[in-house]
Amino acid sequence: MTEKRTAVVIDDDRLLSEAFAMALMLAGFEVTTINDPREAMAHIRATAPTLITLDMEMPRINGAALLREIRADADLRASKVIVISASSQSISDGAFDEADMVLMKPVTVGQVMDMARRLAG
Amino acid sequence: MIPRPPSGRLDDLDRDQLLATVRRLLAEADALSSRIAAVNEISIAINRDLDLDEILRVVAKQAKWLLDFDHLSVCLRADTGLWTVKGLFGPALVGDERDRLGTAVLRALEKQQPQVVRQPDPAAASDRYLADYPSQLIFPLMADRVVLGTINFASKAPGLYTNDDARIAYMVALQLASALRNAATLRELQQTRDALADRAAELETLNQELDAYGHTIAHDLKSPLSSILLRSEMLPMIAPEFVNDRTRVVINGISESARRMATMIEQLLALAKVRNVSENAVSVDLRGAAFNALMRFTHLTEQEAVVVEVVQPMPRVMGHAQFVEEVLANLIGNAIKYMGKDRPTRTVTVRARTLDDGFVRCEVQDTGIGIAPEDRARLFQMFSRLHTVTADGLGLGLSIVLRIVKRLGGQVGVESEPGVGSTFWFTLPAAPDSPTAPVPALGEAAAGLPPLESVTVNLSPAVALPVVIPENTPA
Repeated sequence: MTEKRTAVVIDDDRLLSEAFAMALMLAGFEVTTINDPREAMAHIRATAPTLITLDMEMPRINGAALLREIRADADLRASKVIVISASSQSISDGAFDEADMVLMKPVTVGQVMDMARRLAG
Repeated sequence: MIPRPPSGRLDDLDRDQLLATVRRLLAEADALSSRIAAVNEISIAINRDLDLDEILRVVAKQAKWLLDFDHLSVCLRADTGLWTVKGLFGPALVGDERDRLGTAVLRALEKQQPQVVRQPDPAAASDRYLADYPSQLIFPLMADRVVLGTINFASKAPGLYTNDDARIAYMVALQLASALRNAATLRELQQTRDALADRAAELETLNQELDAYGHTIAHDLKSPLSSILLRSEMLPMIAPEFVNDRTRVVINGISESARRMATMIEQLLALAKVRNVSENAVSVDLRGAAFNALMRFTHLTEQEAVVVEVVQPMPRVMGHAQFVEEVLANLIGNAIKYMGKDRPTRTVTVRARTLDDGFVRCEVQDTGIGIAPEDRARLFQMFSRLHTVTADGLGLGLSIVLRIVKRLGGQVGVESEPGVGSTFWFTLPAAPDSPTAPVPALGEAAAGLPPLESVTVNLSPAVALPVVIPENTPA
């Protein structure tokens, strides 16, 4: 596990996903970024990554729907899902209950490192 | 009158004559009471009803008890602004009779004086309206010296109307005029109310759009901001050789600016959200809200070496947990941030008690530098900030507190002694269920946390869902 930790960053904001990817690389992950949520499931199924970071507020496919789909897949049971959200409202709505962790934007490097250590260490 | 007997004695009165007189008097009394009843009916209808058609219907019905007529109509201003006759009794008006007024009606409108017609008027020979009625009582309907129209009684019998009849017509006209004025006032009120309701709905829509707009903007700013923050923080890690004393100032400046912007965005979002504080308040555990609020400042309490104590037990209040927490977070956050350097004691105390008036008073007391009296007044104003140098954000924090507490039916205030500390307080309605409920809101893990010198966010699975909140939360 510690040898090859993989992460998939799903965020429609290209620059932010790039920044996340850099932070996760610093934390020792091999990272893929996906900006079009419609491509996400296929890639996740193919690679079964250690860690998935999922932006909640995306166009076309919303993060909550993707989260449900990931959780419904028995083959992905080992994957940890970190939800990244800009709105605390969705937390109280219970939209993220299935997530392993929730980070609120803006996210700091410290949080990313800490998260990586806790969930995939 | 009863004829006086020649003898002057009551016993000598003719019995038949006496009976006839009594019967006549009774009949007169009867007729009079009918008239009184009719007038009474009209005034009841007028007082009870503000619908014009209903008033006119009652007037038409009861007028039969008051006066003889073959025709009864009113002349009123139509929506078009033209005088229009509305028939209430008698043969229906035909064709342009409704729009062409007779001579007497025109005179009554013009001179604002009653017109009593006892015989055919040569001037009215070419009239079409009321041409067949030699007897007419045309009375203007006056309200506040403005003529609203006329009421028109007419009969085919010449010389019918006496001065008494004219007096009765005058009374009816007075009553009708006042009813018309009331009906018009009501109509105006309704129109004004409808216009106001339309305007309110418009403003509400506009406000919602504005809120949604503000929310979207603030929301969308968070992604690029996260990117800036992450990149500026990562730079020294990725390229340590790039970091020296001069570049460090630049990099830290970028991070600091981004963090301040994050705080501003949070404040703007919070302010927009306050509009959603609904009427349906529920019982909220104040202690739970205080703990949740405190969790936002774990980092800050450590950094500032401030001890925060939550005095237990705490009563329950009526409100919304999310907003009560926001209020407490603002007050606790301010207390920590503005503690000031070199204070001998660095303590923030949160306590609450139920007052006699059914409200709960919650206090956040600090041992900070205090606030000068002249500064206290503008504390709760939007965008006003006392500590320009050290503060984050837009200075919206206390105005958010004020908005929330007011919406939930409470009050806010501050007591302060410069050099000793400040106590910010707010009141909220006490929850009826339990005055001092020791219900744990954070689960056993949080309930076990004694005096809160530092609350750490517990990430073990025992706690529902760990949520990491941005370090800079709304002030």
